[in-house]
Amino acid sequence: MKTMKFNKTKLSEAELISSAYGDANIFTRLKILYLRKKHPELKALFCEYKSTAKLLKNIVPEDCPDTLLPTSLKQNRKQYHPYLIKVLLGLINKPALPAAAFLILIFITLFSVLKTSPEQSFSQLEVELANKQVKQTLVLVNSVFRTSTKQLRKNILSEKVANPINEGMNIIEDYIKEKQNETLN
Amino acid sequence: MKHLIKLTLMIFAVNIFILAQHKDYSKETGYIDFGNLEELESGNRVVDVFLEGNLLRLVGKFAENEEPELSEVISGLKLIKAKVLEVTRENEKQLKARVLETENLLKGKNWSMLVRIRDVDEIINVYIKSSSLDKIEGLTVTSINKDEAAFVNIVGDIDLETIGRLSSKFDIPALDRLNGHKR
Repeated sequence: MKTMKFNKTKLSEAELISSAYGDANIFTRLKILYLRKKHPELKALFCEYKSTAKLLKNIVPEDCPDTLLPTSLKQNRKQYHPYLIKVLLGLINKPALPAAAFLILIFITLFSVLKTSPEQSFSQLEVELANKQVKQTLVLVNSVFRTSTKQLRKNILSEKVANPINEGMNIIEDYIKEKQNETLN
Repeated sequence: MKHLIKLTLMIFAVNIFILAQHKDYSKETGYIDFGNLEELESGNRVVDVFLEGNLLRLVGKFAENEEPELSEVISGLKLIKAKVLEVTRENEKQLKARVLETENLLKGKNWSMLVRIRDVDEIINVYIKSSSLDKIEGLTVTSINKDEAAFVNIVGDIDLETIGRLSSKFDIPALDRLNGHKR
């Protein structure tokens, strides 16, 4: 295997390729990240591998000619399934723990959806109590409106409107009386 | 395996969405948070009403035949929240402060004032939140006098005229007489 040396740090070509393909462990990735910043030639090489990896990942078995595909991939191509089937197959083929977690989650979802149905959530007694409480709240709101109207009549109309008008009328009356007395005298 | 993880995460997100839909009313335009009113409970008389959309729809359905008007009013509502507390020496100042705080909150959220009364013994605030001229989405009533303080928030399509007409028909005791009812 070809080995490169950068500032006393050895880096194999395999490590570089595995990092570009996203398979390297975290320490190798960090090491390459550090070295890429220091050495532009390494960065260029890494980018080249990375773009190749991206191109390869985008190729689906269906696009490959039969002659280029190994037998294992040919079999995989035949087993190409839609998304839902893949998930269901995954449930059967994979270990029990993730499958169990998935089923529990499905159960919780169904339970919460069913819980939204009001008929199943409340008893007759609860509905009757709610009916009474609705009415009580509406009565309360209405009583506040009635009090407000009373206050409006009492304070605004009598104190702020009627009383000043009365006072004004009294002043005019007094003034007229004074004038009449002056004329008589 | 990747598909399974993706689907599990999707279902998990749906679950959170469903659960959030049930309990979070804070995003409703007509909702207002009165804060923790329980800490202000001091007297014996406490009335606490909290009726959510599901239950209100069911009440509306049950009232369809006997009280069609009530059923009509309720069916548009999403939440009814009411709390009536007895005013005592201990909690009077705090309750008044909470009424005024709520008023500032309503003003800050651009609610429209319907009634605002400041008297020596009484404070009354009635605010509405409307999306258009004829559609009210929220009603908030806060009042305090010598005896009791009331905090009411109704969320949903509200028809004030029908509420006024209806409540005068109800032959039921007022909330302040329901001593000891605690939810």
